Amino acid sequence: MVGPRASIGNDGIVAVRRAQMWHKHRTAYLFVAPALICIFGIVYYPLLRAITLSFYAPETYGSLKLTFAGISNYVRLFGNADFRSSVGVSLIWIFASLAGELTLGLIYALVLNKSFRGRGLIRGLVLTAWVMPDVVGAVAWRWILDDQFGPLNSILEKMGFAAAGFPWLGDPRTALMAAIFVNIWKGFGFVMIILLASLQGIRKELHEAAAIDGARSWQQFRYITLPQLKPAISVSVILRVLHFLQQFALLQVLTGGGPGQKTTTLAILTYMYGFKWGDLTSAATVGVVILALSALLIVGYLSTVGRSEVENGL
Amino acid sequence: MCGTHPVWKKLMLMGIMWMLMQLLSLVPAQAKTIQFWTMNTQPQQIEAFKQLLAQFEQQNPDIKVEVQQVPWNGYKEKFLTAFQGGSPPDVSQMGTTKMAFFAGIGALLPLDDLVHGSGLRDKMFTNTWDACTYDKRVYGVPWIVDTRIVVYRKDWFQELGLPLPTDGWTWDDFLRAAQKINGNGRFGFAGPMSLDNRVLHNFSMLLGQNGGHFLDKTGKKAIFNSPAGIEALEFYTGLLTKHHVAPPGVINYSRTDEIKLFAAGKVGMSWQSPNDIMSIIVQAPDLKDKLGFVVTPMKKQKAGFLGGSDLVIWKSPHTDVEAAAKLIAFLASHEGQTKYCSEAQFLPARKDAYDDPLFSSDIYRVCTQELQYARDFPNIIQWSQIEDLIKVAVNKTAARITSAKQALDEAVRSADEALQR
Repeated sequence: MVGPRASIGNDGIVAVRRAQMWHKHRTAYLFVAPALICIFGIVYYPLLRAITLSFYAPETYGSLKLTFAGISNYVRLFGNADFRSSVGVSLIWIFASLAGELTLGLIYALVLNKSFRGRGLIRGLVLTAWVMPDVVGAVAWRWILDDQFGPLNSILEKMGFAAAGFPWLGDPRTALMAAIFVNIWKGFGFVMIILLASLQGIRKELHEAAAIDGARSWQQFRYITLPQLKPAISVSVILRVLHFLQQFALLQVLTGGGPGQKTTTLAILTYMYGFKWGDLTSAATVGVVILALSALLIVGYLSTVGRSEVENGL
Repeated sequence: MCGTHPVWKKLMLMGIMWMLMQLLSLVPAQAKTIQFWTMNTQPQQIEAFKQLLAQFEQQNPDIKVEVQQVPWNGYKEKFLTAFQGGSPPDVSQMGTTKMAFFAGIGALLPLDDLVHGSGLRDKMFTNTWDACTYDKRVYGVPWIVDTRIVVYRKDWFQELGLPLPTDGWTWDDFLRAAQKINGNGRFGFAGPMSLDNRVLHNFSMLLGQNGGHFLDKTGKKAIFNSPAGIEALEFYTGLLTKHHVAPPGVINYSRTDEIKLFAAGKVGMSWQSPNDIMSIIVQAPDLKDKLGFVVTPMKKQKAGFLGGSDLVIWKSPHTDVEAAAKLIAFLASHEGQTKYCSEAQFLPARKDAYDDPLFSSDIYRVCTQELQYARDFPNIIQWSQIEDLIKVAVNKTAARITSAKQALDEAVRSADEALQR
C-alpha cells in the first residue's frame, strides 16, 4: 500500500515543510521585513549603485547620460595629485586622531575608574563634547582659534607668547594639527566610555593578588589592566577608524579642506566631486576607494591583534 | 434605538459638519502653488521679499507662492540634490556663475518664448543676459546684479592726511593707502584669501584690471596663468605675504569674518557689495557717517566683478509653467524690482529702476559706475570646477605653499583637463 508521504514525493515534503515554516514564523518575518527593506534601501542599494557608478562616466562633462568606462575613473583618479594628497591627509587624520583619542580616553578612563568627588561631573563634561553635533563643536572652535577675536591667541599673548593674530586654521603648518586637536577633543569621550565600562568589569581580586605579590602600580597596569582592556581597545580602534574615514562636517566647517588642500581628506574630496562639481561618477570612485581603504585598515588590524580580541570586546 | 437617540443625532451631525469642513478645506488647495527657493539671508531681505510676494498674490489670487530660504553657502549642492532627487522647486533664484551648469545638465526650462514676448530683453543691463544664455538658448531672466566697490574709512583717510580716492585711482594708490593705514591694531585691507567665493570675485576684478582673461577666445583653453594673471595674484596675496597690510587670518576668512572685522573698526578698506555695506552698518551703526565709497582701483584698465542672480524655472513634471512665468514677469517688472531691491540693498538688473529716487545714494551711484565695466564669468558648464581650482590657487599662494605661477599653472592644467572632457 502506498502511503500519503510516498505519493507527494521528497520535493513535496520540502515544500510542505517550507510552508509550515513560513506559517510558523510568518509574524517574525513580517516584523523583520521593514527593517530589512530599510537596510537594503539605505545601505546596500546606494553601496551597489556607487560601485556601479564608479565604472561609468558622463557622455560629456556634467551630462547625466552615462556610458560604461571600465576602470578609467580609477586610472584618472590615481594619476591625480589632489587625490594622492587626500589619501595622505586622510591617513594622518586617522592615525593622529586615533592615537590622541586612545591616549586621552585611556587616561580619563583610568582616572574616572577611581572613586572621588566630582567624578560624575567630569564624566558628564567629557561626554558633552562627544554628544555635541560636529558642526556646533567646529563653529565654537573656529571662534576659539580665530586670529583676531579668538580667546586662545589672547591667552597665549598674556602668557608671553607672540601669538597675536596667528591663524591656527589658516597656516599650512598648523591647520591639520589644529583640526586633529579639535577632533580628539570631540571624540575621546567615546573611547573613554568604552574603556571605562571595560575597566569596571576587571575583578578587583586580580589587582589585590598582584599587590600582595609585590607588583607595583605600573606592573599592575602593564600585566593586568592593559591585557584585560585589549578587546575594548580593539573595538574602539575599529569604530573610530571607520568614523574618521567618513568624517566630513567637522573639517568642512573648520577649514573647508584648506589652506590649499592641506586638510582635504577623501571624504571632503568626495563632497567636492559629487556636490560642488556634480561629477557623481568620480565621487563614487573616491567613495569606493574609501570603502576599500576601510576594509584594508580593518583587515590589517584584525590580522595584527587577532579576531578573538575584537569578538571578546563586542 | 441608538440611531434615534439625541446623542447619536448630535454626533452624526458633527461628523457631517467635519466632513464638509474637510471638503471646503480642499478648495484653496486647487489654487496653483509655486515653490520658490531664494537666497535672501538677512531679516530685512526676507521681510522685503515677503511684502513683494504679498503684492503678487493680491494681483494673482489664483496663485500662492511658498518660499524656502536657502543659504548662499552650499546652495548649488542643495539645488543639485533636489533636482537629482526629483523634487526641485518650480522657480528659484540662481547665481549667475551656476546658470551654465544647471542649464547644461538639463535642469532648467528654456525661457526664450517668455523673454521674447515680454520685451524684457531691452529693459535689463545688456551684459546680464550673457549669464542667462547657454548654448544659444535663454534659461533665465536677470533679477539682481552684483558688483564690488571699495568701502573705506573716510575718517582715517582724513586723520592720516591721505587724499580721498577717486574714480581712476590705481593699484599703487590702493597699496600706498593700505600701508599708511596699517598698524596700531588697524589693517589696511582684509579680503579673504581662503576657499570662499569672495576670493574668486576679487581675483576676477584684478585679472580684468590687469588685462587678463580666464579663457581664450575658443573657450576651450584656460589662460589665467598668463603674466597678467600671475601679477594679479601676486598683488592680491602680496597684500598679506609681502606688504603685511592684511591680517594673517584672511587665509581662512569668509565674507562674514571680513565684515565682522571691518565692523569692529579694525580695517581701513574693503571690497564690498551694497548688501555687505548694509551688513557692516547694521553691525556698527556708528560707522555710517565715517564711510566713503569709490570704484575699485585700476591697473592697465578699469574692470569690475559682475555677479548676481537670475530667475529660472525648473524642469519638472509638477511645475505649473504658466504660473511660474507670471511670477518671473512680476519679479522682473519695474514694480517688482524697485521697492524690493532698495529695501534689501540689492542692485536691480533693470536699468529703469535706477531712475527711482530710492537709488540715488552714494553707494548706488558708485555701483552703477562700477557696473559699466564689470565683467561676467565664462558661461560654461565646467565653471563650477574651474572656480574652485582658482580659489585653491589663491589660497595656496597666500599660505605660501606654492608661488603664484606654480599655483596658477597647476590650476590651468586641471582646468584644461575639465574643459577637454
